[in-house]
Amino acid sequence: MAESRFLVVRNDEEQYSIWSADRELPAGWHEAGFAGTREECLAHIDTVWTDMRPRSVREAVS
Amino acid sequence: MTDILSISAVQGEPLPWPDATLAELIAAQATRTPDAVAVRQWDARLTYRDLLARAAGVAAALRGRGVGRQTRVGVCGHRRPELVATVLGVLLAGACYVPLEPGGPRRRLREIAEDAGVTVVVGDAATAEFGDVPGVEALDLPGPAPLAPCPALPGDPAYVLFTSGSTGRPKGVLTTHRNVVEFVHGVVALSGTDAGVRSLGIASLGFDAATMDLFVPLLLGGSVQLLDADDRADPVRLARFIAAHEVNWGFITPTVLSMLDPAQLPGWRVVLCGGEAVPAELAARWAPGRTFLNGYGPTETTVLAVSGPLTATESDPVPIGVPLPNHRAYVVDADLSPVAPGMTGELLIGGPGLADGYLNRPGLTAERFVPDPWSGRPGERLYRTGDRVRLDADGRIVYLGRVDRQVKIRGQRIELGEVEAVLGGLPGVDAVAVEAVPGPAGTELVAFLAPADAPDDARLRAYAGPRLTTAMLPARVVRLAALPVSATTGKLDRPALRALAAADRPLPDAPAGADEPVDRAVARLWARLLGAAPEPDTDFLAAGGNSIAAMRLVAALRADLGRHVDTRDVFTARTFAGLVERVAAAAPADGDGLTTGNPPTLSPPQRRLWFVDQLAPSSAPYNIAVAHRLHGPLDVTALGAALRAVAERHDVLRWRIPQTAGVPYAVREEPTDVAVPVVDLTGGADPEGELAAMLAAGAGHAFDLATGPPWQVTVYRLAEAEHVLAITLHHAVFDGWSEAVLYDDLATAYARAVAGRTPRLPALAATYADYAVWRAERDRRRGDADLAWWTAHLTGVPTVLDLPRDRPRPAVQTYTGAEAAVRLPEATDLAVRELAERRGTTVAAVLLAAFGELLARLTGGDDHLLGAIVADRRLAAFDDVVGFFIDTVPVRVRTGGATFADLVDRCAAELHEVTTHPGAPLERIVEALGVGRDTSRAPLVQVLFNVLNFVPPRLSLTGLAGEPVPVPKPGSPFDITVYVVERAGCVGVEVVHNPDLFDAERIDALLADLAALVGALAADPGRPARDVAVELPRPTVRVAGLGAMTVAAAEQPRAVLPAGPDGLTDTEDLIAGIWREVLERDRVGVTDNFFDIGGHSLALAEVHARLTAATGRSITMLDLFRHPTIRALAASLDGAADRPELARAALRAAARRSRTRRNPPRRPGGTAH
Repeated sequence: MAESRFLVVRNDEEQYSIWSADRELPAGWHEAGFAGTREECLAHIDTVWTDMRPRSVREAVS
Repeated sequence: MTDILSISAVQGEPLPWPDATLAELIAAQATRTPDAVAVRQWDARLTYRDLLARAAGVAAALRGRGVGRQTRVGVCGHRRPELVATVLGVLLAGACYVPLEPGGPRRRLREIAEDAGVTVVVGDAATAEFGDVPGVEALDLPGPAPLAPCPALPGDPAYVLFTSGSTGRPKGVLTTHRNVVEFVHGVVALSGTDAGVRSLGIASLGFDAATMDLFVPLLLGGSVQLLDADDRADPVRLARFIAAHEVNWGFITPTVLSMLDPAQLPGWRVVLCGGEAVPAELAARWAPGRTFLNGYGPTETTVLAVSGPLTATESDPVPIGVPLPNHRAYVVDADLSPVAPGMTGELLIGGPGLADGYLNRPGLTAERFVPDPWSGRPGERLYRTGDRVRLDADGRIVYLGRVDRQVKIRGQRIELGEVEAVLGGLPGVDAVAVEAVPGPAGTELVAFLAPADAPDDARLRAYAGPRLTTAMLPARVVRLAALPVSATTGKLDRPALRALAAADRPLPDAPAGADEPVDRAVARLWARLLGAAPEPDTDFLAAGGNSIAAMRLVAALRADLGRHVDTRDVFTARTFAGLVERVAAAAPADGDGLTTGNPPTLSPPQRRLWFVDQLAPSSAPYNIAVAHRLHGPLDVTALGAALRAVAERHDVLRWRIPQTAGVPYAVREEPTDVAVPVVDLTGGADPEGELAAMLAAGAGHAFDLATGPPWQVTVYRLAEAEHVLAITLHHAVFDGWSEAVLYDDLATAYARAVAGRTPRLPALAATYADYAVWRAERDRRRGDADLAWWTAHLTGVPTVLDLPRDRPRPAVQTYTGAEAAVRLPEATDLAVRELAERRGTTVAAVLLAAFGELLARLTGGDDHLLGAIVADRRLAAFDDVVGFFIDTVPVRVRTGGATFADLVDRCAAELHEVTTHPGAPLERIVEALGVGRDTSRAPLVQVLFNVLNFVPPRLSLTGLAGEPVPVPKPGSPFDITVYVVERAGCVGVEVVHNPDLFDAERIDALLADLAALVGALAADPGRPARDVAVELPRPTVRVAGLGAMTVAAAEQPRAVLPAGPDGLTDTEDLIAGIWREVLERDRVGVTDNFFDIGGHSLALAEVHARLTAATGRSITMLDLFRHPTIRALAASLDGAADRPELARAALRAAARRSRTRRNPPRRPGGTAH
């Protein structure tokens, strides 16, 4: 059985996740330019998501 | 688009919350209620003002080290109120705290600190745990500082909690201020609480439930009732804590809750229970009469995500409820597609409680936090909980187990939770856990049942057989007294169970040594106490046993063998063989009720001693002073280190006893170096004379129990290699027994210190505070029965004993002391010992009988009441504890016509019986007998007969030869105290008397006559005692000084102020108001005696505190005692002030305030309302 394919996705807070390539992408989420097996996608995220703070927090100045 | 109604989805109510940081909100609360208590732990309290000041100090120190927004700071502190200030301080600095709990495995702590990138650790255990970690700065708790604004924003992380998954290394969950603030508002709405909240501060800081414990009260203006490590580890202490702190709201795991009794905790109105499955049976016990909420939530959703009320009529598995406000829940299959309502699937949670993710674990975060396709909110995420649930018919979520708790046994899919649910239904099973472990034939199930006597395998199989498939039946069953609980989370410790199952060894069925024969055990304890192994016919007394040794032997027999024996068994059996027989036949002893690790707590005798100390503050009758002459080179530095080690071990030596509103309480200082001043007497003309004077002065040192150490040490240098070590201690922290303990410990520590090692001493099995708690409970349990015994026993006894004296009794008792001693002639010594042996009792009983006969001849009566001393060291655990374990008990000696042998028997029985009713202390007996208070004498007991014949212990320090140096007793709390002593192998009697009553010549003669009388009586014990040596005592002893048997006139109160329109002066009105409040009476008469209308000494202390506060004047406790009516006291106060008119004005103002506040009804005619 072929392994399911996943996409690396990202929201406007620049938080990453994965989503089944067969399913419609939920609102507010965008493809981040990587597809593969579940494990490959998670490994990719480990390399690209270097600042895990939500964007609003990263950019906010107190 | 999926139809939301046809899938398993549930929404919480919308609820707004303030978008602010925790630090801002708590600081704002502190401005509103600065004086409200924010954190309490027994007597330790932090108000909101204190909390903010301490937290601001932490924040300032952190900012000074470059800590700011989003910095992660380790918090490593003990569970004291300051821990909350430390946490808040980190938040105030804008940083995010990482709990690093002291005392846990060090490696794990350091790994967490490293994973979290922590470079600063703050808290009172920071130095101890992290002082030696490279790259980490450990910062002990800084002092208070002014408040500076918090630079954090609501979206910034507030803390990182590390959670262990079932496999792999711990992962840090990043939780923000917004997460927490939103959650707190949700749970407040859900549980309906307000500023009156007193929360149960039980959760470990590393467990998310601590968020609830701390921030729910702190955001509302309520208070955190913070348990220390010991109180949260023991169900009995936990229950006591909850009751004593009036906890009314709190979260607890079902495992811990199941150990508590709801009937004992009616004040706990809101119980949130969760963290693991709540059994229906638990809800049935706890839900009636209070709000009982199930709470469910992973750390990744802050604390709780789903909650709902449970009733007494749920059935397993109970619903966990519905999503919290602003949250939503979905039940999905393995492909993350929603299942139909009622079908089982994995629970997904969405809402503002979702954490940012896992610290430095992007892949893992992306895997567990997934896009939300159903809410219609763009970019939202859902957390995959890994929990299997379904919706019930009412739309409530039912928890079924972990997704990863599904195992395969012989190819069949088994849900461990289902097996647990069935086994849990078997009567006689209190708790159950089932784990799958590798077995000889593949994976097998092991069931753990509690209690230890849960049903056997046959009954279990008969019950479970029809209810479970063959694959679901456990291969092995392990029965435990209780299932292991994780110290961090309070949940069932499954890794520990798996380790236990994998070990696959039969549990030891009995503790080692339990099959030791009784005779061998008794011989072992006997030899330990008396120094030599006994033969069957060895006599206890002949072998050196006395009443103290008997008590210790009995305590050891109870502790080691669990047999209920008492000292009478020892004295009746006499021989070793006889004792073994009695022990073997004895009933099993009840549990001793001892709890350990208690915070400083005053014992009832300490409270009484505190009170009498207040009455006599200028003298030092309650000091114990000891000294040793040491020959050889004394290492003073090592001595100081050793004394510190002693004070570390015996924390009572570090106690302070302050008071608020007349109620004393104990606080403990941290160990510090003990100052050892060295007084050099080498150059003086008369060093021995100077030494004697200084020893006497040191013995009379007036300790201030509220502020200073209760002991002091001085070294006097007489020559290069000759010193005298003098130690003076307040009786409140010491007793005669403690002396040997002190010397032993000091010697051990000194030996280590001079050898260049750390003079640390092992911790005690129980502390003085543990005794205090044990004792209070014992007194509570037995008090009424024991008091009834005492009142019956003492019916008709004269409550005043006036011996012929030389001077009138001063109107107010003085506490001066002088000493005298006599040694029994050799023949008498022998006769007394022989008689004691023939009657099967102690030398002390013989001397008491003789003293009783002497009293009869002095007063002409035949019924006298003396006092005796009882050491309340009834448990072996108290053997090595320094502290005040002493009770004064009444001893009734009836003479009248008996032979001396009979008298000895009576005294022996009396001395035994008075030790067996310890639940009613002297003060209660005084009250019950209605003995009028009188400032001229101690109530009930004026003559003390001290039968605790300690062999004076010796201090032997490494490299030094030591001998005791007599130190004059600093004062006399009684008219006369008689000590039965043994000096150089010979019995003697020592007396401390009050020279304001007696001349030394009279006392010397009395002692000589006592020695002569006891010799005559012991030589002829079969004759009626009154017929023996009728010439004794001589007239110099028997005849009082002219006019001496009176009480000196008290000073007369000066003119009484004119009374107001209601018949009372302002002062009287003020005092009456205070009396009414303290005594809780509607009316008090101005001429009523305080002690006749329900007052007792601790109530008097309360009156004293209130009166001092109301008038702003320095009034001594003695003033109140001397003037026990309102009229007399008011007259004394009005007359005694330096500026009467000013004092009157102050009193009038205070009286007006008191009237305004209470607005009591007024009646004329000299009755204060």
